[in-house]
Amino acid sequence: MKYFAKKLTITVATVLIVTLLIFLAFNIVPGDPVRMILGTEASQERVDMLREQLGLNASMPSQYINWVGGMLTGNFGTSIKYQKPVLELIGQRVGVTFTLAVMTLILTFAVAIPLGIYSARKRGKFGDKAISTVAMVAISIPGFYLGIFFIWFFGLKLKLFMPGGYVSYRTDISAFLKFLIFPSIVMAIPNIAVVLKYLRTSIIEELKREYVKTAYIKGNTAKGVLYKHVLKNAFVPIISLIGMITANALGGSIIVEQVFGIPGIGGLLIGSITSRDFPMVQGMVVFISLIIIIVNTLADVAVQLVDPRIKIT
Amino acid sequence: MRNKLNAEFKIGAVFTGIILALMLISLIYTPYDPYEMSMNIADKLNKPSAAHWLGTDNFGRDILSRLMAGIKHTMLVAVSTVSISLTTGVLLGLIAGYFGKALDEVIMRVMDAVSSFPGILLALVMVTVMHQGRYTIIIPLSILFIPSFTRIARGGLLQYKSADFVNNAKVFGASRLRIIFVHILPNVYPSLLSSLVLGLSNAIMAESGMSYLGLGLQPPIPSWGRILSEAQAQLFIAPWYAVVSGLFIIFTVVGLNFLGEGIRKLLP
Repeated sequence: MKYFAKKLTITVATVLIVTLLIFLAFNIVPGDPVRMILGTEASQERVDMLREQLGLNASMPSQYINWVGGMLTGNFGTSIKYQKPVLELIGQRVGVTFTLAVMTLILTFAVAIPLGIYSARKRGKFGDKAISTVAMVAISIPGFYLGIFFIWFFGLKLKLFMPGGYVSYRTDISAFLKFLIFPSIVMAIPNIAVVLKYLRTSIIEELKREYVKTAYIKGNTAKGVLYKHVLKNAFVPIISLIGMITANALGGSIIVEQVFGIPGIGGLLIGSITSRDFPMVQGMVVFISLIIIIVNTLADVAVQLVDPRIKIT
Repeated sequence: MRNKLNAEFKIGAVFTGIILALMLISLIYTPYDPYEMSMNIADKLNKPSAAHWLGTDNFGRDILSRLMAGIKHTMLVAVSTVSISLTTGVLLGLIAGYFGKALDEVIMRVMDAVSSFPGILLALVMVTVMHQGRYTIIIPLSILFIPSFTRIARGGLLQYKSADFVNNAKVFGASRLRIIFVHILPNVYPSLLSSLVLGLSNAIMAESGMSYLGLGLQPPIPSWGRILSEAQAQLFIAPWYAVVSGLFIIFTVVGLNFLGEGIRKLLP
C-alpha cells in the first residue's frame, strides 16, 4: 500500500513537471506568440483580442495555474483554427489512433514473444544470429519509408488494400480494421525488434539462476524448465516495456497516419502546427503525454503486483 | 580496444565510409546540378539509366545528384545535434553525479520526463514555438538526445567516484575539477563513443522524419525526408524514385547502428 501511495505521488509529480515544461516551452517563445499566430500584418485590435482570449495578460504563474486548473475540469483550451474546444476535436479523432495503437501493441507482442523465446533457446546459433541481424536492420528503417514501401508493394502491386482508401469505423468496421492492418504492421516492426531483444536477454539471464539447476535436478526437461519455470519470471521485465511501446506507437502514429492518410490525432497535430494553432498543439501534447504517463504507471503497478520483490519507483 | 575487430564494426565502418566518401565527392562533384529543373517533359521521371543512374524526379532533376547533395545537410544536422547534446548532456550528468542530493534528483527527473516522451512529439513542440529557419530542427533534436548522455556521464562519475585512482589523485592534492575532467571523464569516453555513433543514426532518422512531415530541413535543401515525401506522390508512376531515396537513409542508419554496436562490443 505504501508503494502505491509513493507511486501515485511520483506520477502526479511527473504530470506537473511535464505540464510545466510544456507551458514553459510555449511561453518562453522568442517573440510574441500572438504575433506568431496572427502574422506581423495583423491589426492591433485583433492582437489585443486574441491576447485577452488566450489569457496572456495575466502573470506567468497565474497563467500556468489557470491552465492546469482548467485541464482538471476538462478544459484543454480552445482551438483558434476550428473555434472549438480542444478536447472535443481530439475526441472526434482519437478512436482511430487508439485502435491503431492497440493493434500495434497486440501485433508487437504476438510476434516478438515467440521470436524472443526461439532466439534465447538457439542463442549463438544461426537462427538467433539471423534474427538479431534482421532486427538490427528493422530498427534502422524509418517508419515513413516502410509505410511508403508497404503502400507500393501491398497496395499497388499485390492490391491487398486501397492506398488512401481509408474507411471510417462508422461506415464499415471490418473495412476499417482491414485498412489499419498495414499501418499497424509498419509501426509494430521496430517495436518487435526491441521487445524480442529484451525478452531474449531476460530469458538468458533467468536461465543462469539457481532455481533452474534445481528444476533440472528434479528431472525436468530443457523445455519443461523453460516453459514451466523460466518464462514466468522472464516475462516480468517485459511488462514494463508496454509503457515504452505505447509511447512509440503514439509517436509513430503521428508520422504513419500521414503516410497512409489516416485521419487520426497525428494529422490533427501536424495540421495545427502548420497553421500555428498554439492552444490546440499545447492541449494535444498534454493529452498525449498524459496517456503515456498513465500507461507507464499502470505498467509499473502491474509489474509490482506480479512480482512484489521488485521495487520500481 | 584490445579485442579483435568484430563483424558489426567492419560492416558499419564500410557502410559509413561509403556514405562519407559520397559526401566528400558531392562537395566537388555531382553528376548533374541537384537544383536545376528541366521544363522538357522527356527529362521528367526517367527510369534509372546510364545517363541518370537513379533516374530523374518530377522536375527533371537527377535523383543521384540530389541524394548526394543531401548527405552534407543530413550530416551537418546530425553532427551538430549530437555535439550539442553530448556537451550539454555530459555537463549535466557530471553536475548531477557530483553534487548529488536535490540537484541530482531534479536533473534526473527532468531527464526522465524528457525521455519518456515520444521524441517526435518533443521535436514537434519545439518546431511549433520556434521561428522556422533552415536549420531550426537542430535545436529540438539536440534536446531530445541530452538524457542519454547525461545518464552515461552520471553513471560513470558515480562508478569511479570512490575508485582507488581517484582517491590517489585526491591524496596528491588534485582539485575537484581536475579529478572530474582529467581522472574520471576519460574512463567514460568508450561508452560515450558508442552512444555518440548511435546518436548520429537516431538524429538522421529523426531529421528525415521531420523533413518528411515538412517540419525539418526547409527547401531548397534537398533533404532525404523531403525527397521521399516528394517521391511518395509519384509512387504510382515512378516507384523506383521512392525506393532508392529510402535506401540511402536505411544504408546510412544501418551502417551507423552496426558501427555503434560494434564499438560497444569492442569495449573491455
